[in-house]
Amino acid sequence: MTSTRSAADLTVGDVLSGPARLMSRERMRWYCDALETTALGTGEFVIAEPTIHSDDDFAIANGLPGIIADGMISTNWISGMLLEQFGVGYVGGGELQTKFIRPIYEDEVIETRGEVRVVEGGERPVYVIDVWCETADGQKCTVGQARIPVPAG
Amino acid sequence: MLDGYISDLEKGDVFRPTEFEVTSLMATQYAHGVEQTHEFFHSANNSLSRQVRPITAVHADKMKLLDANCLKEQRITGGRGPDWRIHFEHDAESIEPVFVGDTIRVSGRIADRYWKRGREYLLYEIEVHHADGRLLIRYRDRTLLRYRKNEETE
Repeated sequence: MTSTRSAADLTVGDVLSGPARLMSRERMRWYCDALETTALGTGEFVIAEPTIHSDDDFAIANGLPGIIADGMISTNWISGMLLEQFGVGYVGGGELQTKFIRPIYEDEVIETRGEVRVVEGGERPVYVIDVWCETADGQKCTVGQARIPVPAG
Repeated sequence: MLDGYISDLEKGDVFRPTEFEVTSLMATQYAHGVEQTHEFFHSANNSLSRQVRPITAVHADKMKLLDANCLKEQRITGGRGPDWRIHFEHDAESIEPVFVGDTIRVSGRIADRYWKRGREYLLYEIEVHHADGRLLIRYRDRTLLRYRKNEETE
């Protein structure tokens, strides 16, 4: 799901959307292990040590009510929405800025959204897109902005 | 201060760069972990004819850089610091794609360390260059040093 318009034809106010996903304990775990496997880079698959994203006791000891999702999961869901909409234009020239303004807890349903805020003109036109993830009752958790070059029409 | 815990880092610290080759596993495993199924990340069978690493995997570059520069807290190999940090802001600008097979050099510094509303933050500025010198990613990352508030600084 993204906008039904092509990447070259978006206008201010057009809305992008990604699928609704439940932030399961498993999804939190997958990111911990994937991050550390990527960072280690030896070819071994890593099972990450307990973190605030995977271990309730560890999270509580750090002042949290329980495990919370790494903000990079929702960032990646936004990133995936942008990739589906803009393809090469995003991976080779896009910018994504996100802030994690509210923790995402286990079993919350999260929806991913975007709205074209500005189309900057000039030599290399750019879409400025507000992006966010929100809970099913509309509480924003991850908010930010993307800048993506407008593809040649 | 380098070579201690992450919580020892100070404004102005410049990290020793780390250089490595991007492997297929790095691209696929990161993408898999966040359910990114686009073929860009899983093979060269895409419009670029090369396998791409997700832009957001720069988060793992930061982790690698910290492991190389905070020797008392090498998390990738199971190290632990006195506090668990909370990632607060991610800002990645892709100049060019990072491809599997590229050798990349990750460098960075602590641009700021400050208190705000009872919490202490680190601002990282990180760059990823191709081994041939091209800038591939410009990254800024803001992290809370610990979740608990320090009431005295409220």
